[in-house]
Amino acid sequence: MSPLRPLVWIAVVVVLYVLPSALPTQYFTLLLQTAAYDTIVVVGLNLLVGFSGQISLGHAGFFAIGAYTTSLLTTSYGLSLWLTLPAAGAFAGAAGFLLALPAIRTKGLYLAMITVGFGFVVEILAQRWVDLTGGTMGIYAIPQPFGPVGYFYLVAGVAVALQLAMNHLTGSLWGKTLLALKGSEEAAQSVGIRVVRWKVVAFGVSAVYAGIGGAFFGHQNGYINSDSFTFGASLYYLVALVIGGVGSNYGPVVGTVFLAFITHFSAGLYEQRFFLLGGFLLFTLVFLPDGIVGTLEKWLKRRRETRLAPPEVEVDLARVLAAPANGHEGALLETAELTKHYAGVTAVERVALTIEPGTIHALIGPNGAGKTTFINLITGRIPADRGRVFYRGRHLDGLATPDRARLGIARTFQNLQLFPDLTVLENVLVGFHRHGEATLLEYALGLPRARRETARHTGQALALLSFLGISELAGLRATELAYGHQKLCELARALAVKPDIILLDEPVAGANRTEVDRIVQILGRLRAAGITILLVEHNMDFVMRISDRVSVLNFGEKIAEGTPEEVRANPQVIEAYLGHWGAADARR
Amino acid sequence: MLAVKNLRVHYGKIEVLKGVSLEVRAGEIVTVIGSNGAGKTTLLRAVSGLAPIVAGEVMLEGRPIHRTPPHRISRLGVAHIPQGRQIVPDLSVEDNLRLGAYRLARDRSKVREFMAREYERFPQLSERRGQIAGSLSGGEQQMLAIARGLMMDPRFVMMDEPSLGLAPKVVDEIMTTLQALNRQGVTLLLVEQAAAEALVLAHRGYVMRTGEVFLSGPADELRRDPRVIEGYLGG
Repeated sequence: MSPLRPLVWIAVVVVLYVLPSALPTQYFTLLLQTAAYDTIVVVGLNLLVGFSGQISLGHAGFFAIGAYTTSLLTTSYGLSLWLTLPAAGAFAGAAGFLLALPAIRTKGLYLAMITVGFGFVVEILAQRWVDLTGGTMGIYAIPQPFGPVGYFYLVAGVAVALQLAMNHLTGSLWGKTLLALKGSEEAAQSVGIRVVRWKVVAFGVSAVYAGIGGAFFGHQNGYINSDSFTFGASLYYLVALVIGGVGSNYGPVVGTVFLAFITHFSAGLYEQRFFLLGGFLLFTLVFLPDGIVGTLEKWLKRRRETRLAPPEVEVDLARVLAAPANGHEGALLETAELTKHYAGVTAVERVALTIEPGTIHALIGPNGAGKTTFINLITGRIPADRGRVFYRGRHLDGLATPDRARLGIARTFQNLQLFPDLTVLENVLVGFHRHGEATLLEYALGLPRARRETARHTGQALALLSFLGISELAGLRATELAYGHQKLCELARALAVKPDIILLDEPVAGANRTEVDRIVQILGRLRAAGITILLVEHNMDFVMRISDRVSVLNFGEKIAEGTPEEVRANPQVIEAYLGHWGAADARR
Repeated sequence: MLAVKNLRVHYGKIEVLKGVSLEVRAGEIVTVIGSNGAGKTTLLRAVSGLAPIVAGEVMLEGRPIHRTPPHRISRLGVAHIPQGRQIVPDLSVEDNLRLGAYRLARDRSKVREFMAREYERFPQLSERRGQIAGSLSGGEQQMLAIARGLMMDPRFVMMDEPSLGLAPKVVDEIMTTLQALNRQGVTLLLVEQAAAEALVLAHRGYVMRTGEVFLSGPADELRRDPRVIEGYLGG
């Protein structure tokens, strides 16, 4: 943390303290209140959109739930604001959680439509459930405590606290995990992240923020009715976020304050407000696609980008990679009758494969032979039609990719699937996911266990990177690396799982000769460290050089297996690759 | 017909072609064989203007085309029949063929003439002209892809793995069709993994391995050369 950080926050507090008296009329104090609670909503929305990569066009619904919760509890039951504010957050959070549970399995446009629908449902309930909400008549006489300036201090204070908590959360490994699944769900699952669960939690947290914002709205106005929670409001939050900068910590506050004052100064143009809003949105999307703050951050970052010094540690690979002991004897991984058909096309047909622990086993075959499908069947990315995968003697039926990763099955991808928003080091850190124990709350509050865990994993991640010879690149964004280094970064991430077996989908595709030699060396050391390797590869020199055993697939069936020499001399293998010489001759 | 000199292609940060040279003379069938990942498909895509050429040149009948956009290259009488058929599965067989003659759309009689010619070449397609292309068998889809490419009446056809995923008997049928096509005066550049079939058909062949031409010569010689197998399975 920079030593200036506390000073900055003191300055923020001073500015917030002076602001109400610096502005000419009380009207501006109300405007500041509005900006402050809208900021809370947009900070929450940023977690959802900018970090977990989902979208909500229904945040006004959570805002409404928060507003009604506090309004009803204070007016009907006379509860104190200090109780109803957290209650508002909790109710909205629960609603977010319940909505997300089924909705989160959809993506993009569909999720957006569901959240739009949710927003309308809340709006209509507010209008029609008159007994509870008072309908269009609304709820009157909601307490308006502390006077305008005092109330602004309260809202701003809470906003600052929630901003700080969010900074903590998004800056921690927890936030990196969200960014990871936003970048590539498939890769996130491959290191054991249960993606659906994480997205639901992000949705819930985001809804808590919206609920608290809504509660402050209720106490500001002293009166709420169903007209306050329209689809337009949901859009407004999203526009504020986009203008401020999606995914940057201070984008929400900048975007919200900007829009609040624009709305104020264009009050005379009420009829044209959507036109204005749309205009600003368009301007941002075209000229500042990262938003105001995002653009600034990028610009500043470019100027002070530094490389981390490589750590001065001799790598004890065996210790970094030590997986939990398992005690199983015999084959590590076995498949029996494994079968997968796609729309009548046989991708994998009754394949039986046995992989002995501590070996490098290659899977080869012509295009379309079913190699990648086979890997996907083992990781559980696609379900088998028939047959089973046995791992340490137990079948893996019904286990999804993250569960299998947690058992120690890691993989790399044919088309690289690095997490683009993360640095090389962070990519590897996320790989340690299955070894993490600290909870969300511990990460949000920066408690010791979360800090210790992050420090331990950082040390191990740097050790892995230095083993692969790319530790000096640790601070760069993964996508900035050269292709060969990206492949190594992906390998490091897979090794962070501390796997028993690692599935490599074309580890040397696109590599030059020196890089191939390097990978041969690395894989040899991994084998020596006790890691089993199953690889799919087209570079035959590489395969023959490094493999203990080679299995050959053709049209989804296993047609041969043996040592590299045996396979290379096998006429069926030659025919699978080069065609049938006899038959071709006959046609002449 | 076609001369490729020292062609280099990068996909992003990956060097896929590391200086490939080859030549196809008018009237020939030339095949480029090799294991998957060797860069064969990229070679065809580069000639068609679909892959980013970093260095080297592509000459079509003596004229450089390595800076010509893909749609202009296809107007020069070059047909590229891509890997994996790439037919439009939701359109009928006939509409797929009509798409192939997109440039001739105004000249209806010509479209009809070419379509009749393709139905004659592939009677199976004629029987299924009204059927949705996605419902065809793999072999029929490949025939449709070829027929669609020929609807532009090309002089030079580049074909990418027509045998992919097809049973040997179907491969045989398609190879026979290609031979007939060549006898009608069409020059062919055939990319194949199935070396045996391709070398029977072709006059000359090039064996590629990891982005380079590893071996080349008359097809008859390559058929007897054990190094071809090495090119696939290492050695």
